[in-house]
Amino acid sequence: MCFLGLSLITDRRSNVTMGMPDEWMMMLLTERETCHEMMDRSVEASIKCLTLLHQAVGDRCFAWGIASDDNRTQHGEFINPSLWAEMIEPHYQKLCRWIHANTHWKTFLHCCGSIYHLIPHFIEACVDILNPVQTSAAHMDPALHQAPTSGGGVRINYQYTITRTVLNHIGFGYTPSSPTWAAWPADSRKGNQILQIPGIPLDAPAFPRINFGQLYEQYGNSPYQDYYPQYFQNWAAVEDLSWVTGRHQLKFGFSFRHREITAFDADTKAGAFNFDSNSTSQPDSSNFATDGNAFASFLFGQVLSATRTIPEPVNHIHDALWAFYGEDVIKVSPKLTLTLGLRYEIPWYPEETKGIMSLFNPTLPNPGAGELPGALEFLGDGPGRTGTFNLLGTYHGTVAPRVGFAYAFDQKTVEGDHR
Amino acid sequence: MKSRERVERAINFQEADRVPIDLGGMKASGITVETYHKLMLKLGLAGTPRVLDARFMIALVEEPVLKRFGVDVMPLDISVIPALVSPENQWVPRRLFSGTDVLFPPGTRIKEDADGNWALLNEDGTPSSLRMPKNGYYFDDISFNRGEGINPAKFKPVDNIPDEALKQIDKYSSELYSSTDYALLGWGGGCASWGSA
Repeated sequence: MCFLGLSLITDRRSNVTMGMPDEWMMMLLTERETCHEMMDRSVEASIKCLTLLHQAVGDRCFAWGIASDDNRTQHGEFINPSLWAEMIEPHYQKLCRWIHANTHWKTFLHCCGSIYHLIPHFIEACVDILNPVQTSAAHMDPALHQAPTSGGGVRINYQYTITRTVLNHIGFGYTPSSPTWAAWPADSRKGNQILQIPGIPLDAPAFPRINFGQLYEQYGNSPYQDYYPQYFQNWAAVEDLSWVTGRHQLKFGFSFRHREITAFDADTKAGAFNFDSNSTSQPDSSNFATDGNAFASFLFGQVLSATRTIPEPVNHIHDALWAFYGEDVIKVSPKLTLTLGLRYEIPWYPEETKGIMSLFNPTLPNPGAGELPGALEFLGDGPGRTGTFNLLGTYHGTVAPRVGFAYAFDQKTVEGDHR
Repeated sequence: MKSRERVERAINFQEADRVPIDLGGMKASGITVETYHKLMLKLGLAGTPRVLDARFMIALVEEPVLKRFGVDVMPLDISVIPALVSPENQWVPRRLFSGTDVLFPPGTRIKEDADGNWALLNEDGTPSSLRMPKNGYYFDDISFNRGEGINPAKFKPVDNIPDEALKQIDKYSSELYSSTDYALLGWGGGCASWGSA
């Protein structure tokens, strides 16, 4: 079984590619129904063979190799994962489901190389075992798969009994973390040193992305390639005082949380170029929208639009939240308990340390558009800047009352709560 | 804990006494015959290494090595069972460019050209697209595409396995299962042909 026909183990002549993997890969885009029909026949034939093999072998095997289907290079997937999901996943899923329904075997798939983005689809296809995890390929560090976000933390809690009825709790926590993509290596190839596209830096990592408005999958990988230093830190402190007196259980306290994010994003530094069919269509035709071909537009160099990211400097954003609360849990009767509480929150809205942020202000006159309203507003100190570092605003009216009750009725408890 | 139970537990998300180990459980998780020979010498093992698949020059990992490294998995690859059940005298001896003597699976035919390069021959004696350059270690596939193009009407995936082959698979797997504790990984019967992946 091999639906891309690239595996060396497979006898390519007798699988769906009939010995022509490149032609087959084009058909996956241009003759989808035919491909589905051929792959379905392939799975049906395979089920017949596996039925016989299961009769011969039974439970002596713990798993059966459904495919050796190398969908990748060392740098990334050979096929767009969404195309794989649309075209190939249903057929593997049918085969795997048959194996699960009719045998005790696990399903085993061999696929070398960089396949990080295909793994969720392998799971959807009911593949139990993936071989190998080629750690030398891009994005295949096993730590990434085990821990999407790397992080750690420390939390200290101290509870102190002041008197028999008064208890104090104080706590402090610190949690640093770094998201998965921060550890992804950049594509070390400098694609534009080969392509020499004007306006794209020669030192930009990876290859410029070429997008087609129809049918064809894109070339290049610039949207997913650069190193992202991203580091999140959380500090938290909490203080609670509990006092039990008569029918009342009173609680007072406050909490404080401070967050810092260090972030950098240089995706698409090597650019993205969009081509569509309109550029090679007939201008006066009633079929303007359907005439023309995006790949032909590409061959003519008729770019519809293009983007290139000029990365921002590294951002340092922080915010904080203070919260104060009081609560009284009143034992009205042996069966009825009332809860009354009030919470007040004071946010310190996010700020960029140096104010290197801009926001769209719909009322600000735009000098680049004849002073019409709607312009970018730059935060921070300096000429033409707002003098503020705050990204979101100044609302400080967050008061949250809480009323609740619990009623014990024949061993079963009815509870109500309103905040 | 025996290998079979260890693997069974691991694939069912239960804790095993250690991580299961694989060497040669399938063709893509094996070891090349040259390296395998060096390993045999290092371990002081006698014998001639056998090539499991001539295209990739991977070795048949045999019992002393499996035992020495605590390997838990053995292949039940139906494409190689006919060779494995053949007597050793039917395997094809050949000296590799490095001077290592190996045994190729029965029926393997290799032709050397005037420059000393090797071509792997098809069953009918015609040269395949697999070539090992002189002093090379394995065969390169010099023609990725083959055949006459895709004709969906002519696509006839193999959907049957001869009774004789099934009997051989039954017998071989039964013996392997009862005489060893290895977990067995099945391979073959995909859409290509019953003898390949």
